[in-house]
Formats: sequence, C-alpha cells, structure tokens
Amino acid sequence: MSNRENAGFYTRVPAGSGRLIRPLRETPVGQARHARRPSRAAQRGGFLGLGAVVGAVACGVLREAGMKTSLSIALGALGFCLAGAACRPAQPAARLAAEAEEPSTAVVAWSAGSVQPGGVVELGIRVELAEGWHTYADPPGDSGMAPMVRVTGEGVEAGRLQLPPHAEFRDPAGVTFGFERCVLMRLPVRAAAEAKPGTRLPVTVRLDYLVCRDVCLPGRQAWDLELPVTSTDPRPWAEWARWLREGGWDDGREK
Amino acid sequence: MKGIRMILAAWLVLAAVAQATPETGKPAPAFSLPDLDGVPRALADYAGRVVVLEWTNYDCPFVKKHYGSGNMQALQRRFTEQGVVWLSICSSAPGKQGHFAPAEWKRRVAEAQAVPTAVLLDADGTVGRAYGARNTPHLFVIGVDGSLAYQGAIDDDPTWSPENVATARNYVAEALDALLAGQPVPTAETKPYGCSVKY
Repeated sequence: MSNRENAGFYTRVPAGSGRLIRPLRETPVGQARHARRPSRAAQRGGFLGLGAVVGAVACGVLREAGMKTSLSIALGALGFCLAGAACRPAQPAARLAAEAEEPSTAVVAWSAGSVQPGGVVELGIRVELAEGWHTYADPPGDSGMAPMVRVTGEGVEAGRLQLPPHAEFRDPAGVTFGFERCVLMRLPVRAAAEAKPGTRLPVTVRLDYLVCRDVCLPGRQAWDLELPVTSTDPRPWAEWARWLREGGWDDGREK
Repeated sequence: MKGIRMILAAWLVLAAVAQATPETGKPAPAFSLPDLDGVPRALADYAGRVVVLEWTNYDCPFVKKHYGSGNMQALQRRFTEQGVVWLSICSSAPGKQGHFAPAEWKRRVAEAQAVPTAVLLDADGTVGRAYGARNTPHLFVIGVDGSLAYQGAIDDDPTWSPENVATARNYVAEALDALLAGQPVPTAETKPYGCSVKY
C-alpha cells in the first residue's frame, strides 16, 4: 500500500547531459502543474502506466541528445523497468546507462506516503551512476561540483541536504570526494503546521550535479511533486530501507 | 644511509612539486608558447602590461558556462579594449578533452566569438604545471611589474549553472579594475573551481 501510494511520486528520467527539462524558475509555485503525475488509469496500471509516462519524458530528453525516437522510447521504457535493479555493482542497468551514453540517472521518492501538519518527511534523491563515473560530495575537493538542490513550494520548508560517507578520487587537479554507483541524497522536508489534512502540497525540486569520469558532464533534473497531508501516522515507504542501504547509508538503518 | 638519501631525494622531489604553485606578489613564471599560427609568444613580450592567463578547455562544463553565457567573451572584450593582454592557455594533452589541432582551435574560437589576445597551446603541460594550473577555468592576473597579482577562480559561484553568472562576484574583473586604477587587488587568491586540467 505504501509503495503504491508512493508510486505516484516516483519519477525517473535520464540525466547527466545538462539539459534543462523545463524552465522552473519561471513557474509560479502556486500554479505549479503536475504534468508528470500519472493519470488515474496509469496509477491503476501501476508500473506499466507510470513507465509509459516516464518513458515519454526519457524519450524527450534523449531526443534532445540527437537519438532516434524509436530507440529513445525503447531505452526510456527499458531504463524504467530496470529501476529496481540499478545501484548495485555490475547490474544490467549500469551497462544500459553506459550503452545509452547516459552516465547517470536521478530518481526521487518520499520516505513516507504522506506527512502530518508540522511533520517532517524525507525526500530521497537517488543518483545512479554507470561504471567508471562518479558524482561529488560537498565540498567536492580539488575539482568537480557539490550537488545543488533547490526546493520550492507553498507550505513546505526544506532542511539541509544530507550526503552519506564519501570515497576519495584522484584526478590531475588533486583529490576529490564523491560517490560511485549509487548515492542517496536525503533532504528533510517539513510541512507547515497549518497544512490541512486531505490536501496535497505542491513541491518542486531541482537538482544540479556533475558526473565525471575522465571528462565531466553536467546533470540537471527537475521534478514537480505532491506531498499528501494526513492527520494519521504516515506510512513509511516500503523501499526506503533498501534505498538507504544501496545509497551509502549504513545497512538501511535510520540515523 | 642509502635509505636516508632516498627519503631525502623523495622529499626534494615532493618539495619541488609543492612549490610549483607560484606565489602571489612574486614574479610570474616566464614562459613561451606557440599561438594558433605557431608563432611563439613569451610572457616577456608583454612586459609592462597587465596580463591575464586563462586556463581553458572548451568542452569542460564550467568553461562552457562562461562562454555559453557570453561572460568570458565580455570580460575579454572589456579588458583588452583597456590594454590588457588576455592569453587563453590550453594544457590538454593530445587525445585528452579540449585538445585540438590549431585549425580546429581557430574554428572553435570563431564559433565561440571569443576575443582573447591569443590562444596558446601547452600540450605537454609544462607551463600549466609551472603555474600550478589545476582547473578550467583557472585564472591568473599579472601586474605591470610582472608579479602575480591574482590567482584562483573566475568568480564566487562554483557551479556549472550559467544562470548564476549574472549574480556572481567576479574576482578577475575586480582584480583588473583595481590594477588599471593603480589600486591594490582586493582579493588576491581564491580557490579555483571547475574541471581538472587534462594534462
């Protein structure tokens, strides 16, 4: 159930090429649309329907990169289907990303299906990296860039972005700090005390990051999300512990 | 005894590497590099003038930020018009990102509408290492007395996001404005940001 609740707030699009998916700065938050929320039919259809939506988004992004449309659709849909298999070493998703020349993907999900008025929920931003690529910690060290997250929305307030323990990398500039394969960035989001149960708070999130191998590519992802407000205890998302574990946090335990 | 000598030798090598970064306020390391026509250009040729050294790699996202937004070209135009010498230096090794043959370089410079005094090629990285050039972009400003007046980042926004250029504090423009007005440079050293130089 919690998984299903969360499914509506789960998107996946290829990243790593620095394309602005939509000009968020110009979107007034109060009127934020939710174009990427799956329709009711898609929600009922579960992953398949959502896959189509995401596939379409992925298709658009890949097409910008000059890829053939049919291939883009196939890759977008396939990439989505492999979402659960990524973030582990030598998994097909990593190879797929490399073949598609997409060194990374970014996915978001809430840690729980809802939030109580005045309560805090975590937004998980999961960056998956193809073999050989890494992204950066904050500070990044002698080169690279710390991830930059911007959150806007009425009735929500974001805390400080949290990153798991990082690894060290060497490049001609010196030593850098960052993450390989998979990293879960955690952002606490507090709902206003006046938030009304039964409503959904619109939250817009933008991530700017950098991935490097011998060369570097900028990544920018934007998501229009909704955060349901409930008076009852929020249900934790069933996959959150796995996201924590795979994303560099100790054994999936809460901090 | 042999061991001690080995350690001493290793220490000397490390010390030499550590000293590779020139000190602000001290004479800037002399060099001579070919431009895109193969003509050697020496720092000594510009004695008595303010000189900017801009380490570059046109395919680095942080460099693209400043050329894609027109920021770098605007700085080049604004200061060369005031008599400043602007040298874009590429230390990318052959086969590495940002390394182009001179003809391709000329095409890329024209495409970017870049207006440096010259683009200098440092394919073996000698001059880059002499300056401790670490990132692209990494900037050095040399005063009329030949001493290093500024080294570090182009501005205070260590991202690749071009929309931040307009609101960033530009350390290079500050340093050049100060030097041209005969004033001390307000910030002489900052931590550079960007890609690694592709030595």
